[in-house]
Amino acid sequence: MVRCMHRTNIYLTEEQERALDERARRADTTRSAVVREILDRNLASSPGIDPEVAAGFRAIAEVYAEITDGLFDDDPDLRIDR
Amino acid sequence: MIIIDDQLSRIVLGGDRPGVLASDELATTWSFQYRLVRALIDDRIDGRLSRGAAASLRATAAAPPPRVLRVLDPRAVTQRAAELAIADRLNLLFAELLASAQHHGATIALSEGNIGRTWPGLMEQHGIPFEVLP
Repeated sequence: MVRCMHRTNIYLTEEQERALDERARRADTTRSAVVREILDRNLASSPGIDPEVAAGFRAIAEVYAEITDGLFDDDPDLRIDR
Repeated sequence: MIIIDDQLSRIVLGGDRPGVLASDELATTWSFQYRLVRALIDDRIDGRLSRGAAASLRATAAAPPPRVLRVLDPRAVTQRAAELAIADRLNLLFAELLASAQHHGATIALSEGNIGRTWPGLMEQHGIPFEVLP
């Protein structure tokens, strides 16, 4: 898959730079590719919705439909004419 | 990208990604986000949940994690939405939705109860792929 990329500059410590270069050398790839892989992995595991909040959104399923039914009838910009 | 309505946004924020929503980046428009947040500011929501929980839902709906649900910047489509509103006699909600789908090359997914009478025909006319979810 071809990814659209943007050039960016970041500051690294010497230690980080050495570790990145070592990992890139071992994987026979580039420092940039290693940085992208680390970012992908980290961002994919970043927190999404708190489980309790998610449960709250599920708990209001019925009442949400009741609330929205008619809520925007007087608002021509936001209503849905079915 | 798939652009979804307020009802599907609520489902997605609840941790579910039904059907076609499972494998694509999800986004909503500012107007649909507003409908969601507005509906959450209702006494009946507070009646179902503890006060703290209701506030957390509102805060999450107002600023959802982009990885879960991206809110599209309406400023990117202001002109196109206005043009569509005039040409096709659309309200703000649908003009922003249609313009956003065109701008981002996105599919539109709507819940069954959130489909305007004229919407399917207009989405077809403008070449916007769309899905209806139960």
